[in-house]
Amino acid sequence: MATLTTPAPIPVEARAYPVGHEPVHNYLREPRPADDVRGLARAWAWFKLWATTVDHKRIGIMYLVAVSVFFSVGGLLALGIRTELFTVNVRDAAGAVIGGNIMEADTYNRVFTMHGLVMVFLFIIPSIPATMGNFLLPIMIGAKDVAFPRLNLLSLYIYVGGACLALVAIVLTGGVDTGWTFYTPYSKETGTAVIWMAMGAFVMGFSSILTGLNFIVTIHKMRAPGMTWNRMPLFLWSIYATSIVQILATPVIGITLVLLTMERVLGIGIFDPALGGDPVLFQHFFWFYSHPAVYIMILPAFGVVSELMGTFSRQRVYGYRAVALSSVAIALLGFLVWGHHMFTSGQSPVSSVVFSMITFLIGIPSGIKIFNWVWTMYKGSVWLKTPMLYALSFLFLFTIGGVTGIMVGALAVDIHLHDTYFVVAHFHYVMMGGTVMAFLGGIHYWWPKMTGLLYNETLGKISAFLVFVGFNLTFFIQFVMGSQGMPRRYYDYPDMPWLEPLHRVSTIGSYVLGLGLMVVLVNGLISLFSKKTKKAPGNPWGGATLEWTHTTSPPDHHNFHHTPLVTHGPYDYEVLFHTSGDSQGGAPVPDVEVGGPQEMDQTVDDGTRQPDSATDY
Amino acid sequence: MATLPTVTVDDPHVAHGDGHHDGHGHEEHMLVGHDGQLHPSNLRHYFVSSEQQFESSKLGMWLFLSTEILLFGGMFVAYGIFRVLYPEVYEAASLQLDTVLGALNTLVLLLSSLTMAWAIRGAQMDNRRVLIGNLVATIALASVFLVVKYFEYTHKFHEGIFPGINFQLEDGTERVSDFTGATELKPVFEVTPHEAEHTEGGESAAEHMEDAASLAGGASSVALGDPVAVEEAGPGVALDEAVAGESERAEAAAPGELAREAAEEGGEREINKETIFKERRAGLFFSIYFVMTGIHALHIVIGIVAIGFLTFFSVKGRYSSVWYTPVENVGLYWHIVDIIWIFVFPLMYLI
Amino acid sequence: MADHAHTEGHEEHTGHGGHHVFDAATLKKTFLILVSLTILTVVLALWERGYADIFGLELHYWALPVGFLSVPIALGIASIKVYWVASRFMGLKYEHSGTNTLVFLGSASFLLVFFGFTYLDFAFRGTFEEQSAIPADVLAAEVQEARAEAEAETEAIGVEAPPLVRQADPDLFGTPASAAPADAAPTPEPVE
Repeated sequence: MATLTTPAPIPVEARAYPVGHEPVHNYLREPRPADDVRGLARAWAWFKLWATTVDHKRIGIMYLVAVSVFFSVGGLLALGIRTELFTVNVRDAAGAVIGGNIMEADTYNRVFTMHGLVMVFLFIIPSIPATMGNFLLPIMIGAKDVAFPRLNLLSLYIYVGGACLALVAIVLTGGVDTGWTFYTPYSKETGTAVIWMAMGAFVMGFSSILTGLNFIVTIHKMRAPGMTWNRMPLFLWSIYATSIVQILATPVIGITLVLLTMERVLGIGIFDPALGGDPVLFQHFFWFYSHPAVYIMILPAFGVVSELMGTFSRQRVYGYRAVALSSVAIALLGFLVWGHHMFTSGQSPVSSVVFSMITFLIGIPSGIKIFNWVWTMYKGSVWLKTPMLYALSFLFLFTIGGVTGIMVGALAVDIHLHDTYFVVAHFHYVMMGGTVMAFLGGIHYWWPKMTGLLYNETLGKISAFLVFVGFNLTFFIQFVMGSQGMPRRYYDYPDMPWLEPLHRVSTIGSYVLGLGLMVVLVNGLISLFSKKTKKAPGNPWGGATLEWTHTTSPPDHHNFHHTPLVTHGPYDYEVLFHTSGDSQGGAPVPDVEVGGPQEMDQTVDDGTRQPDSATDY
Repeated sequence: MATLPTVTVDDPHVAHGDGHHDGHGHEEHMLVGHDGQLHPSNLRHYFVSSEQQFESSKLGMWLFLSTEILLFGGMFVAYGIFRVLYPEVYEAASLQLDTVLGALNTLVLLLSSLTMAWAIRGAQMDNRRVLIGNLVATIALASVFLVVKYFEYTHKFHEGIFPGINFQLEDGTERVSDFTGATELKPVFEVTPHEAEHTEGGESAAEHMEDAASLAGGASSVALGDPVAVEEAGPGVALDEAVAGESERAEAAAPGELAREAAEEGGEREINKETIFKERRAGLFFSIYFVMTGIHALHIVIGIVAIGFLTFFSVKGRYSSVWYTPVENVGLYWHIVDIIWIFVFPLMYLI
Repeated sequence: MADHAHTEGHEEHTGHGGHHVFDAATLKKTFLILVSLTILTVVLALWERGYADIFGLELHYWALPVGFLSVPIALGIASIKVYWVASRFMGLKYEHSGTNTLVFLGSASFLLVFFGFTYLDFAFRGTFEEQSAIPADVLAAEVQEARAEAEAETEAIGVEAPPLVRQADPDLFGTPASAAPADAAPTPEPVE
């Protein structure tokens, strides 16, 4: 796989922009307050510019900040859980707890509930779509912005508003103690702030819907000339599938939370057996959304991994069409399996069997993807940078998570494993070992594009290592615990003291994981604020998608000056770099930045001279 | 070395030298762009053409409407499930709703859909009078709908039918679950005793009802779902007491069979409303009725506000055949509200 | 660009930008169809009931013996009405791309999926319980034993044990196919 004319690789830091095409007018600087505005007025002006922006890139960055904060909150709550479970509580003769705990049982209920709610609704569901999706979608399809930029800003406001509702509920009233699943009848009877949290989640649901709506319309209507559906980067296919799920599923959680509120306030009785209702109906309603929600969480991660696999193997992603269509298949099939959360709830055996069967089927498209990604690396030139380390972690950890998901999807097995730590380990493997790894990998990958700066590669590798080790320490042992019978959501385990060593391993692992995530944070802060940080070139990784080949780092305020004309696929490294494989220690970069600004027409234009691009579809 | 071709394709709207106005007579809605050519004032810079912008807007609206369908759909599912479980309760309870008023509301809403579509036609034809007139007519019709709904609701409250056991109108208002006399509720149906062999266990339907009535009368107020007693007794007690008091119901005919049989009879069909309403399940129908029509009415109010904005801007001359996207989109929203009612009406009032 | 005055010659009577302009006759026709269908569905429903109360005037008459078909008939007529509203008033018939129609029908079909699978649960409750491998009397004996044990424990520690098993209300979730005797094997319902 020798290259034809590989120039000596120019170190990333030494590559400069062509003269006159430096990213001066990048989105971070434009628009900005007038130069004569100074001091507090300048800070206020900056705040107003960012708070009222309709630029999808700025919105994406704001989401990133918010999402990171909420991740930290959820993470601290998780550390609380793990610390509480570090030891079996010491009890006196009568059975009352006198030591070995850091919180009461009731507090513990609130802690794990809030951990779940914050992680699911405030962090994971918006994580990749709202941050990287918002930032990259228009650039990757060659558009100037999303279809409805003001709606995009509204989405952000709604998200922050809903999150504030939820956080206020936690701070003022101590949160909810029903578990993040709000099951009736307890959620109807408990005195905690269920309505407040439900309304917070309801509001955030709107943000999810509007973001999905925006993305679908943008992908359908605003692709650049030559960007056919089959030339879209796989990240966009997965964002598209995610958006379909968001649109179809989220309204149902909306009505569920409204009905729950009506139950509490009016006593309408549809979930109350004393009035003829059925609590299992609530579970049907809840999981009709919440199962597709987990596909909202994982599909964008699949997309990120596709991008990372392609770029860091320097090869086309194998089986483009299979990967693209399997995303859509997962999105649609994901609506048919919600009952597998209810195998032990008293659901009829017939429907349990049907749901179990379809659950097995849905493992197939996921498996297709894994195989395609592995095949992408085969005979490629694998470049083990930090994003690739996270992507490889994803492959390994998501596979474990997915396979254990099939295990609990088996009806007979689930009778024993339901509501044990086995399930907890399973979903943490897919959500954290899956989505969060992809999220971190994506952040590292697109960091140069978003900030125009390079992060410290050594710190990145250390963080990837710590996160991987810590994660496995924390959660692998939980498979064992669960199969030994450790129930989930339990404050203490006095009748199973032999599990204590396992819990200790898990808790220690969680601290290692926390340390790894701190290193990520530190890496980001150093990159942003250190004077020694190197500026990033337009295409440090040698990617082939439009954001790498056609924009500066950071991108211009308007993304492009002219609508790009797309003539090759998203992973055509051979076309762009005359190479495939064989990177010899660095991204093969030709003498001049390919596809950079100098490739565009010389006449500067504000964009009204544009062709009639694709309006079909 | 491969250079990446980036092409600026000629914009067909860029005049090739001829400077004739391309406004099609709508100059007041066009702006001169940076390139010296006219383009619609409402064309956003990230869209390439008005066509693309319009189609995008419409697709966005349709996607939002699909969320509305799923939102109401949740309530339809709840309705459907309980209907399947307790058809006789639903059939009897729906008799309490006024079919004529419901049909009237349906016709009102259908007419409002017509006026809304006609308003869009007015915008498309640049006929401001038609546009504004029909928008106002739509608002008027929607208000008629709300007024009729108001009367329906107040009538229900007067009869003691409330959204839920906690809903309080004013102290002392009787609620259905407390009903001792059945004089105020509408149709009085008594089950005509028909052949004994039609029912399992050899009991006649009338006897069933008598049993049920006596059970209802004799059973503790907890089993009846009396809210105060339920709260005092705690959860689960109602269940146990009901089980204790109604164990012979295990031998009764399957739910709904009575109603079905009577229907098959083709003869006069009567159901003892006292029983239906004393049993705690009548609330299942009415709570869903109130929640569904309540949320629907909320959507009507939102629609009225939106159409109000449209009317205001139409008077100011904002809409023309060049750009009438908001009218189109609000129209789509209005038709979905109508479509939802088209399904709510037969489900609640007719069957 | 064609001159404005000559646009009337377009086949589709398109307005500016190629949008279909709503045709007056079509709108009126659609409305009349909708009204007729509404009247039809109301008349059918009242006929099936055998009873009507129109502003206080009560009528009894021969009821149309359709039985359970009243539901599909009413929903079928409603669907036809929805077709007319969606295709003519909302313009789906005149769009050249089927995307919006797909969005509409797609969301409706997911709603049907939601209802269908949930119904699958409720329709088959109690289907297999009577076919449990453990014979009913053995189960009953086991339950008796467990109850006795619980009582003994209650006496021993002086604190009331929580109820072991609650007998299901056979009426609550639909009557099982065969009438269960009063002391039959109770189905323990694990509380979620």
